[in-house]
Amino acid sequence: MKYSKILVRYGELTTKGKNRKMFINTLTKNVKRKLSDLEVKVTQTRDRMYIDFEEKDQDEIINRMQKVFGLVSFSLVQVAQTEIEDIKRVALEMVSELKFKTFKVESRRNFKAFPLQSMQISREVGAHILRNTEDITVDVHTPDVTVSVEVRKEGTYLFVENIKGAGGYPVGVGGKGMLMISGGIDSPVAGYLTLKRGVAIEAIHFASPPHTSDAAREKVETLLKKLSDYAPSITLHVIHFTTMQEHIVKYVDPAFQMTVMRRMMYRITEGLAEKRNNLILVNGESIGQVASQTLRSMHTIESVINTPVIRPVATYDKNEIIDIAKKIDTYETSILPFEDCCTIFLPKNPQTAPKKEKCEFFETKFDYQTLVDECLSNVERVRIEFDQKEETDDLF
Amino acid sequence: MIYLDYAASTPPSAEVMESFLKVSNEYYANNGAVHKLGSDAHSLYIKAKEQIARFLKVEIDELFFTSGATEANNMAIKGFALKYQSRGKHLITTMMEHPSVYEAFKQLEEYFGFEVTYLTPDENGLITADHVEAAIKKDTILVSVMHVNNEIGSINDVYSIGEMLKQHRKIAFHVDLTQSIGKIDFSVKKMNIDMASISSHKIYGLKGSGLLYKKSSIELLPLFSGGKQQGGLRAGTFSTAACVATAKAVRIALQTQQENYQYVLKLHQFVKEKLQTMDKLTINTPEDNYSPYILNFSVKNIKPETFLRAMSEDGIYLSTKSACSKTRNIRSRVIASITDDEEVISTPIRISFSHHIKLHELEQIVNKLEKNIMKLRGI
Repeated sequence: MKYSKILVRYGELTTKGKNRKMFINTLTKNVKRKLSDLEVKVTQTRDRMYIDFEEKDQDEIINRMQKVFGLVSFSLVQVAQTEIEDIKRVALEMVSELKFKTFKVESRRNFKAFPLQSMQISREVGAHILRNTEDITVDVHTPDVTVSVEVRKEGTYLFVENIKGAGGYPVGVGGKGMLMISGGIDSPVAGYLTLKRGVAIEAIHFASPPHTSDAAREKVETLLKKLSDYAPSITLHVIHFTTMQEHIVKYVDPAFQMTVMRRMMYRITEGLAEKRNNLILVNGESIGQVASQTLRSMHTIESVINTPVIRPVATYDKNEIIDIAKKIDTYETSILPFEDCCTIFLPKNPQTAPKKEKCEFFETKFDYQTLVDECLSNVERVRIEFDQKEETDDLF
Repeated sequence: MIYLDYAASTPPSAEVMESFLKVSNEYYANNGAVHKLGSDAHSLYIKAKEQIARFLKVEIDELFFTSGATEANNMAIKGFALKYQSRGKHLITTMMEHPSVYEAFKQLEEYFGFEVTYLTPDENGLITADHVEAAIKKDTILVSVMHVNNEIGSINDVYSIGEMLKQHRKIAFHVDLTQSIGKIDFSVKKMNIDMASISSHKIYGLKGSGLLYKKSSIELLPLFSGGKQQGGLRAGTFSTAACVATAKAVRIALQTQQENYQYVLKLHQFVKEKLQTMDKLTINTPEDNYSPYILNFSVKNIKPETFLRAMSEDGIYLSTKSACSKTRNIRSRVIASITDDEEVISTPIRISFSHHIKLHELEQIVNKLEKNIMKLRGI
């Protein structure tokens, strides 16, 4: 059966009292943005959203809607006239192409002037289906299929399936965070989980040419493009980190280079976040995964800034992170072997318990503040959008 | 010239050729190389996989590029049987498979000590879930049934077979989708398929390229040993250009499938109706559950090779059975599985259609068919 209408449920949003209107407006805006290149009509009501689309776009619409945060579930709906015979006809038509053994009918009567009450509607529709099918019975407790009927004045909506949405909050309602992205497996996942909670993200990437390659930077852009499937758009800030990194190598004891480098990255990220009105930093650190991610390291590194740092995957096992990376389609890109600036100068034996005082001592040996300011005044900006065309697109 | 052998191979489309040439010329680096050109080539390979995964509704790590369906069939069947032989040594396939499936099973039987059950289709040319279920033994580990038969065009009920195999969790299900992609609807997920084979040159892509679909939970013994390309399953530098070309061919095939199907159905019906009026002519393509892309018939007393040559002289190109079968022996294993009539079995002629065929060519096709049948029958 061909469909051309979707009914969207807002879900978790309903608990949000005063903010509700802002949440729904943001959600509607995000949905419209996501479907902007298709012929659709998006209608927002108090407890539902309806999307009218062209039949041929059905698969594409479902695919895209499953990537909009803030949607708990949605259904493909058929519209019958608000008149019992037509409701019965459409209901039968809908179930006749499904394979199932048991079913029930659930009705809601929003249009109170409709002559039948909800229970009566369910009974009539159920009886009509039973009469016109074989080997099918009613089971009100655990049916294979639930036929939902919503009687409204302008038309009666029928649906049989709930398609799961991405959950979470609409991106944007929670403010903005600055995602530190290296190109590995963890940071895109951290970005995804942050977006899921309704926080829009910008991204910061540290490049040290010629020690790091263009390919490493392009990889980051590819990853963000994939993430932008879940966000209206993402601005990437590329920091030219070469001079800073060379100073660190020159003035800092090898065992502390990595820790000092991370402290510099945090300072720069905080500086950028303040300029861009981002309230938090976000990164893909996972407790104990590498030397810079022991609790002692995190403590020493984070002590240089005052902005909260959110680490969505801090408590995840690597395998759990990989599962999400595969789900959001960033894994294959993340495992491409390009060195980023976290790996390029990595000393053989970094400190896993770096003392703050030691780091502070090494940091007195060069004028890092000037270098931080230089990095911040020389930022390259790229805007990444989910529907951006790529040069190679026409090959496909 | 009217080409009517599209089930054997198709002309690559201009769009596919364009991509192939551009990628071959501009992204020639080894897609495993570290430098920029290598990584650009690798990104194209990833994009190609992503696009195919999206169109086939599978995961991207479930796809592997091969040199064609023959290789994909061999990789799946032998790779699976050899990997999991400790679980059981009984395999099930059918008498109507393409040689690259059938012979792979023969080899497992002859050299590796497997026991293989070859199912015979019913009178409608179909393999059903009941057939398969009746053949299952305790030590069965693999079932391979093609979706659309390449000689007669029958469509097996892969959906029901997959459904039934859900009850037998030890058994993997392989399906040769070579003649269905872009023609007949399928869903590897809904059909509960574990492994599937696809060829590019049947859908206006290039020869020498194809795909294996394999669920991540299944491991295969690689047939080629070597580098770690494609997850170690298929060693060897593969052609980035072929991957991109295949991705484009798959997209076009699936986007135009509905429209082309309706058109080809008309062609098929027109020619079939004409043939049905002729004496001593048997249509081998079943009445129901068939792909309109294939029309197979036998004419008693006419040697197919002679008929093909006569038609070829008139500028119309047909075939007998699979081009991958030995041409000397025309006797069709597939048709032998649906009839006992030796004359029908040894005289198969296959017309395979395409949306490229023009409506005005139909008259000419049926006229020449009629003319040559009459002429040769007289001898």
